[in-house]
Amino acid sequence: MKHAQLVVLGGGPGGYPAAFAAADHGMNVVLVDEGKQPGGVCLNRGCIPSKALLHVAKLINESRESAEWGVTFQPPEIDIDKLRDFKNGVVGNLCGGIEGLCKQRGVELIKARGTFVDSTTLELRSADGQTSQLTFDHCIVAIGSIPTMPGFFDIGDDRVMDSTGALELKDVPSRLLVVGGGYIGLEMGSVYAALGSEVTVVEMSAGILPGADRDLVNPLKKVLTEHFSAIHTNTKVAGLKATDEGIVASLEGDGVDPEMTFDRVLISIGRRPNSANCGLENTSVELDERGFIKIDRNQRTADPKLLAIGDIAGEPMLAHKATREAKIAVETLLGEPAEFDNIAIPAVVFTDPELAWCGITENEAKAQGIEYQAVRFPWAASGRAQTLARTEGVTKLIVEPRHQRVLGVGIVGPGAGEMIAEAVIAVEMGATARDLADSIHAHPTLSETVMEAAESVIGQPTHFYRRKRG
Amino acid sequence: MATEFKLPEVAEGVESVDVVEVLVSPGDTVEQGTIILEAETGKSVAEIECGLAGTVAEVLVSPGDSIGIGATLITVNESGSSTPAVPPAEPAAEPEPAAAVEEAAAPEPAPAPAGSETIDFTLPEVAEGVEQIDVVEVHVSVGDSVSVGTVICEAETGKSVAEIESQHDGTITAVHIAAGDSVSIGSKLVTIDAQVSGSAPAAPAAAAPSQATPSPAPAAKPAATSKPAAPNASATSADGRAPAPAGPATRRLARKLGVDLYQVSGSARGGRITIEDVEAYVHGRMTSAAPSGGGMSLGIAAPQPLPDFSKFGPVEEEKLNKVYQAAAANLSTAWITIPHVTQHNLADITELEAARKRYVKDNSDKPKITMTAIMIKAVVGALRTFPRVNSSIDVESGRLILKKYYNIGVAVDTPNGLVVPVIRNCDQKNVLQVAAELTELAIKARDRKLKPEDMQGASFTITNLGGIGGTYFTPIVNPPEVAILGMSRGQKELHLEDGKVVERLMLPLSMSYDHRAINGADAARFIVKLSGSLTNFFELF
Repeated sequence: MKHAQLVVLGGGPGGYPAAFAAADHGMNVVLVDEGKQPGGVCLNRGCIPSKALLHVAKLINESRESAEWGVTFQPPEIDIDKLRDFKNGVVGNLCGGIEGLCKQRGVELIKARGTFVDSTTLELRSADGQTSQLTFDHCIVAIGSIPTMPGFFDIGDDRVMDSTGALELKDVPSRLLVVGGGYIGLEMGSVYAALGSEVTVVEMSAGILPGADRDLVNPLKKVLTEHFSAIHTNTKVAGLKATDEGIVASLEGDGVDPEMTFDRVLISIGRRPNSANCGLENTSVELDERGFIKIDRNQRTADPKLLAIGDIAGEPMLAHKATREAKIAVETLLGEPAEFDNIAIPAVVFTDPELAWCGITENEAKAQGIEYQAVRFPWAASGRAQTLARTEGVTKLIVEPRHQRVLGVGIVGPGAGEMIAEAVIAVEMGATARDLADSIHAHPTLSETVMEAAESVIGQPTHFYRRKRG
Repeated sequence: MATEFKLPEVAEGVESVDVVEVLVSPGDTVEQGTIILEAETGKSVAEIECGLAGTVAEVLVSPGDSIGIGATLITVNESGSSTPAVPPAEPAAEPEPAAAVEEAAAPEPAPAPAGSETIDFTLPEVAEGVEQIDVVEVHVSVGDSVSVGTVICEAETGKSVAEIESQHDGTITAVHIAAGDSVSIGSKLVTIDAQVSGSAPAAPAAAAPSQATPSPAPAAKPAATSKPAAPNASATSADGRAPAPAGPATRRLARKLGVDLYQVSGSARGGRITIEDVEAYVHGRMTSAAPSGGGMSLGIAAPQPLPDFSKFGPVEEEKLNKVYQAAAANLSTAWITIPHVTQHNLADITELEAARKRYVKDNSDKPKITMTAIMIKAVVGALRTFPRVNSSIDVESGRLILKKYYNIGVAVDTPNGLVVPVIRNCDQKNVLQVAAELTELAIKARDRKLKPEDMQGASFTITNLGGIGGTYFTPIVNPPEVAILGMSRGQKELHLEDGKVVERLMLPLSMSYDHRAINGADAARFIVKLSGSLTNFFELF
């Protein structure tokens, strides 16, 4: 029977970095992944393909908007097959890259589904049905999450899709219903809207992106309201029915047609941990009530042989959290003083404008009774934003009043996802508003808004004057 | 009736502005100071703050509009007027980012019959300084009815077992804990479907008919769904404190060296802790601590990792309970921070022991007088003569705090570890009262029924190993006290008295003390005085 010092189960953005880090430290590592190519949801069915499509969507939108600046393009001709090829090409390159990196590092990649027989044995079943067993000293469990598809939405019609189906880009439906106004629904809705679909978003709670700061959501909502045919909040989808005309959705909410027909429906109401049917019950791992594996700050589970990282190990289900946890898990095995002590896990919504934040949000500060000061710097006062004709953005800082230490940062605007990096460093390093204000930011860039927001904490920013009260 | 809010003066000389962004829409809640629009004034951008509080009824401007000072921007249904007060919009509308749908939905619109509401009963504060408990036993299960005062579970805190009582009347619908769980203050213990007296259900009848139960309404999202909402961005620190202001590399170094960053003062701007600060802190601890046996580990270095003992032979592991863990932490602190000296002496208790035995034999109806009970009274007498032994030292401020009360802690060995219950005001009690109380506390200790307050406030501690044997030992001072008396087993010795050999019963005493508070000569005087009072025991009365 085959034996490895370390097995990493799952080859996504948690699993493959864990396998690589362990191999780099001289461990004998086997990476087990059930996909055709490694990379997990992120590379194959998530972050990467959606961003390839969002890039194209932005290009299409800008080609329309440029008419206002005196540059008019013909309406775009969309070759859906070629677009799909571009997206698949990106995915193929990256996944192929991971296979190459496995080889270079001496990580053995086994393409099979792994099921725990006990705490030190996996049964491997490859795509052709062959089975074998693999034993190990330790296993890092990185088996991720899957889209939530409640039974009453799963009506056995492929016009009702989850995010994986939406990314396949089978066609451009003329009428698309997006169920769930979270980041996945809004990103995919944006893609299809740019390609020409009439997009209707239905969200059960009072606003899109529940949990995000309203100061950041409002500018996005404005733009999306123009691009989408409707956003219905406080609205529920009571049922779906397949007809020849399309999928008929029964909607419950104020001022919403009780029945509407769509050519396709995207269910994006959430993701859940992939903990079923992989033999975890044969180990001593403990799950919480939602199915996440319980871990400590060193990624250790209740089973001394198993560690867990990424989506399977709890919220937030984000690729970059998984990658950080991968490093911690490996260092834990090596006895290094690593610990998941991160303060700022950035969150980015890749709509246009993008939303990004890290650290504490204003609502969290309020709820936790933390003393804070919030400042907003409007991008209308940014030269760079003016040159882009994108002045809807806002940069917002949450600081602790005594030392003016930066506790949280929120940004909405084009490029917010890139800008949040500076904020993460600031929060993680315990930087103060003056640290940000006194550091020189290149001109003219959007990053200056972070500097000027910090200046508003201390006094007045250069390009914006806030009248003193009283 | 809606009130109009008009454009106020924005800046000197500015008579009109161009609206860049309107930040509110009808239905939004605004307060005085809420920014309702951004406007361009010639060269700058200004935020226009609302001067009214209430709900926006109408928005009369839109981006691109040029408006003059005094023009109506919005109308507001002021709160406090006849329109129903709108609750603060945000908390209600936005479930916590990480919360499951189930959690988000559960607390407010109770999916229960009228007259009841679902309450998550969380761990209340158990005792001062106790942040976490270990659940020993859960006394309720789903379906049980409970009332205020019903014991939900038994829990072990550092030193005692506490009973956690319900603060609600109702029926248990979910139990979130099991024996062996470690639970922090504020964590959910049980969910109670509570009876609300009198009034109608407070919950707004809005959405979510029965989201907690997965079966009926097809529209209800399954409970296990994690809201895609928006990815959660914040990590909370382990214990809810604000994170220590230090970067990841500094935090890692601190972990490696076993440094508690909350103890390190930061030298960088705003008190940020640098790597140099951590190094200086360690250096300071190494040089300031009293020279002691040449060990490098002064409580700041993390313990060495243990080898794999199974390589050498079979082993078995046992989890240390909270009592052991708390004792271990306290003892290390005491050992490291207090310069200990132990003074030994032999007390002649021949006559005292004979008298004690006689008394016990003749008074079987009275509380049994033990040597420990007598020692408590003897110690009180010696403490009165040497008040510095009944003190605490405040090194920071350079003060000795002399206590005018005589609360004596008595170490009790129990199957669950060492505990130290306290007998209060021993100077005001006779030996029979002390003996009675001692018996009572010892029983409580063995049954783990001591409350935290039973173990607080000692000014001096006695530990008696006489029942087991041994001659002398060096007890560890129980801070913030400055001395502890150890009693060993009385032993018979032959003494010469007026040229004759006599048999005497001698009790070995060992007093460890904090040398910063008590000097050696005083300690010797104390133990001599104490021993003398046991020999000439009329001093005790």
